[in-house]
Amino acid sequence: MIVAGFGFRGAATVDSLADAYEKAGAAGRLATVLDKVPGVFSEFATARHLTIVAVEARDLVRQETVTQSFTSLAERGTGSVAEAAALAAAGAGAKLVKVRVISDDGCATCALAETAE
Amino acid sequence: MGPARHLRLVDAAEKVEWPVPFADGYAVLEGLRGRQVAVLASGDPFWFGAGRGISKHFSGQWRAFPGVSIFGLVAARLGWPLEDVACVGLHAAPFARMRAHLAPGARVIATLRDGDAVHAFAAWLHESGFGASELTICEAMGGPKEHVTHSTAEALQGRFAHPVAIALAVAGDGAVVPKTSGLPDDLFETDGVMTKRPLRAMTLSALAPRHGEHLWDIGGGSGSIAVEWLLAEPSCRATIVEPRADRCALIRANAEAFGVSHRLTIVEGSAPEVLSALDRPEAVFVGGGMDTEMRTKLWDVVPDGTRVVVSSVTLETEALLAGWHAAFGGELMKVEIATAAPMGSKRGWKAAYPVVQWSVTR
Repeated sequence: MIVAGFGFRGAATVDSLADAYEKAGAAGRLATVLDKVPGVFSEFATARHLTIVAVEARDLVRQETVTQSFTSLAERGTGSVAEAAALAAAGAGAKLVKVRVISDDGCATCALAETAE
Repeated sequence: MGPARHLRLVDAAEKVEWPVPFADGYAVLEGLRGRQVAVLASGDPFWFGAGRGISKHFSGQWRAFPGVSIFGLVAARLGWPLEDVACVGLHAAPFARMRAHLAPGARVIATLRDGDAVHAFAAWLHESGFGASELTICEAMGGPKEHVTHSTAEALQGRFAHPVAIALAVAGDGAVVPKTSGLPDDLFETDGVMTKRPLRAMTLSALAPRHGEHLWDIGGGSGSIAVEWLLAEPSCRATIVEPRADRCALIRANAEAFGVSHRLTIVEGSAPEVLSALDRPEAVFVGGGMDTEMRTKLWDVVPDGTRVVVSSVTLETEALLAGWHAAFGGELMKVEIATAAPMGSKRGWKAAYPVVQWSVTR
């Protein structure tokens, strides 16, 4: 199963998330770090009829991300919240199938991971 | 400014086409700020129309001149008093959105996305057991190309063109969704973990859905509690927390079949960990797995005034509930349900596990 992981700033809107999601491709589940779930992320998932996977912050830092953003490393201890959330939600042995892409407004990122067979 | 088919009907010095998707049009309209702009839209802009979005984006800077709504036009052709007809917008929503209106004798008028949707809608009716419904397909209502076709859903033939609406007099022997909570168990898909009908009715009564409220259903199972909460009142929302991915899929399927999935957030995860990540509720249902950690966390994260309903079949949880009832008040109720069942050549009472329900306001 494919999971879409998201990272986004406080200024992100439902449209920012939709833009990043459409650039990355489609997925059956949407993941982000737990404290980012309320608000626009929940709104986006509900509108798209997609299930949310809430990832705990400590599970983010364990993931090996392709992208190494300095801001993200400083704030969350991972190179990419989107990639780490997708990997953590897809479970042990998951593979990144789409490196994180950025919405046109720069407010949201999205990456895809696939669950191990 | 408006859709091309509207612009063709008017003589204006400057015409700006409203783009697709519709939401992209607000930025275009914003670009015309300071000028006098007329936006053309069909029918009544405040009945499934352009009014909702435009009034939100351009607060206080507009005036609306409503026309006759599509529902009014269709009702006038058929002689249907609108106060007895359910009017639904299916031009941007799944057909299941009107599932609860499917009952023999009911009359419904629905907008549809385009001509192709007419056949898809008829097929959906047929699959739902209401293929005998009498349809009136209404194309280009109120204009020179107006065309009306009558057929049952199962016999429908021909091609239809946008703009199109459909009127139906419901007939058939499909499953009807009853109007009060405590729906038949077999209307839900389940893997066996589901609050059964009598207890579901009791639970919904204790949760007491009201306008605009948000429910947390913790340990969603098959989603039947949240589905009935959402069916009870169209302005209500629900969030289900369920750790198992397969059950999340089951919950989704149930919500979609009842046409309520657009108001349901499903969070795959474990309570109480994820509770702090949810939009605040007005009511909470915990169907299983209540323990001291969960109660403490729940009391930390939900606002005062939240109605909490907990049900339990285990002695361990019952003991906790008895203690909390003493400490926090509310109502503690024990229910024992037995159903008549064969017992040899006669019948006897087959008892379910007794259930203890604690309902309390935080």
